[in-house]
Amino acid sequence: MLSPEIFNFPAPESLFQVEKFEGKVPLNNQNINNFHYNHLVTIIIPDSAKLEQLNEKVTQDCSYYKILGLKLEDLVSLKFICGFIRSGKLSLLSIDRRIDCDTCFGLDPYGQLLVTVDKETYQSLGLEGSISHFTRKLKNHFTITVDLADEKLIKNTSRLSKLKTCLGRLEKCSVIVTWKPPNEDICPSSIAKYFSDLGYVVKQCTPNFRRHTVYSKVPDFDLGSIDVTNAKEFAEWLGFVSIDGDFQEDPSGYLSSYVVPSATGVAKKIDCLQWRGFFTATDIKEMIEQIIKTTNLANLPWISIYIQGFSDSPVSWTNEEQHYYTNGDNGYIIIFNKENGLFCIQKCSRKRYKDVNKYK
Amino acid sequence: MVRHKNRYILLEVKEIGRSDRSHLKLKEPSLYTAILKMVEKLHGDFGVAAIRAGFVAKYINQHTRTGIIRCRRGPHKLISSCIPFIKMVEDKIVSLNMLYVGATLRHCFGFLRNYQLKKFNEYCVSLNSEEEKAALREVMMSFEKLADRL
Amino acid sequence: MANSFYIDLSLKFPDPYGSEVSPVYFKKNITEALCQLFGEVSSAVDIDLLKFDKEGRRGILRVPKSHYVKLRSSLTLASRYEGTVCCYIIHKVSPFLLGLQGDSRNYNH
Repeated sequence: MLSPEIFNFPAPESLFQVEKFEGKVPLNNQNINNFHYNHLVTIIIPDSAKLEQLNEKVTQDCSYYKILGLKLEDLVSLKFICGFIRSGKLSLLSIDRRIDCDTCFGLDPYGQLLVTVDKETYQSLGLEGSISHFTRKLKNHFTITVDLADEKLIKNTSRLSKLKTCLGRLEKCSVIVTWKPPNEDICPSSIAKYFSDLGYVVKQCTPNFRRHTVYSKVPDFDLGSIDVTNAKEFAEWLGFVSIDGDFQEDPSGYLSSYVVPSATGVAKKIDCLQWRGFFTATDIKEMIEQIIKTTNLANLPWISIYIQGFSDSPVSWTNEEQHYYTNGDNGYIIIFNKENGLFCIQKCSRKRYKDVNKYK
Repeated sequence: MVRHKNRYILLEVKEIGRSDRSHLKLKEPSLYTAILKMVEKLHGDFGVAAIRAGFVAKYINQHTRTGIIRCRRGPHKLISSCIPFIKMVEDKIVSLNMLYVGATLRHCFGFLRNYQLKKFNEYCVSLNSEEEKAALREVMMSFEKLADRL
Repeated sequence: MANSFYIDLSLKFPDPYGSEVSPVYFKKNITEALCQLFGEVSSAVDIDLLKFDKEGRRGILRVPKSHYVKLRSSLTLASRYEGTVCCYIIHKVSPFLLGLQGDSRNYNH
């Protein structure tokens, strides 16, 4: 390096986008639909009384199953593909795996199996894939996409059995799975029965609920004419509420110089409700609908819903690959009232690793 | 292998409370330690580590009170940001003035020659005999020794 | 301040019941760590302690984006708290405060 940089160390980039909408919340927004692996939902509501029944209503359909030590080859049996992947909506995600160093995989509702593997595993696997976006120059991470819903795959038995042996080489891994049946007659727990018949330990999980209340002044932003900087400030304040920060202003200013942005009036009661678990895009849409139904929107200045994805899911939105550079936070916030609203998206850094061999 | 780029900084040391003409005696390494201490204060351990490679600071002429620093390009920003803050060298209250920042020693010497010549002429006004002038010229304008020391 | 990074960290001592840490001392120690590695110029930056839990000695810091890398590296190298050996454990870092309320990595399904 001719002139080494000695002072400027830039932080990893991340993306914050703001979209505005008028009227109802656009539930068919691509950002909601294409975000399949959701981990955390937080609702922040000022001054609302009707929150008692919200938890039951919101999470009535959100239970999911945890399967311990799943062998991947069981996902490509003909019975499973026809019975669950091609009928109904199946979402599956590996857990307790770190995306930067382990094999991670996920199965989205459209039947796409996505596996991210390191170089050694990739070479021993024998499946066709492509180099990861982040290590394009280093070539030490690979992604494999298999379309399990493909008509041709089911008919081609030799390809199916080859796929089975290849995936069988991967080590066992715990997964979480949820399945939406194609019609109401079938119980969603069929998937649990299927895996338990295969000899796996299956555990039913329900979302973990937490609630707290804070008293704070409220930022006074008009959602119709808010700009990106103000939206960021508002999101920061929402974050401050969600972590249950200390709203007492520090008179000396030594510990914290945080002040509520453009705050007016007196401190109000603000409720923060949080669910953690495994939610699909459909679950999220139902939750948002329930929230709008349960709370009386006309009386509220705004409602905010924050949704965060899994840190170690192989993809973020649609097929956009993700990795864990400083964090794996992909998510969005919807802030709305009865007239208009904001849709803010927070994306992880898409930074590529540098080719270290270049400087040797 | 790529060539290291250096930066050469010419300094003037002013002692507070004394006239510009008087001699200022300083030991050679004292400028070095004073700068290193200030970099450690302002830029911490990281700053010291960054400047250490190829860093030379020497006080060269007590008549014109000049010093010269050699450092790597890049970390020279850390050094040049520290120089105005240095107040003490060897228990003497001083202020440092940056005269010139050059990329080669040649440029620096060119500047130094002109600068010394100007000072020499200024000093000559107060001197009477030719011998004294010749002696002064000898100490002020000899660059061979200086080049050896860097 | 729109361009910030948020760090969720805790202070650990070899003795689990070690001395009590007040928020002011916690912040002071962090500033000192930054001063040690990057000097007075860098430690003059605004670091805000948004939340501090005395029991677990765990806090959330806000730091401008431009100084995040510096702060993080000096926290890694920090080894002293008022004369005793200590270390900082960083649980999560995010450019988005809402992201710090939970990490799917250590969630037990």
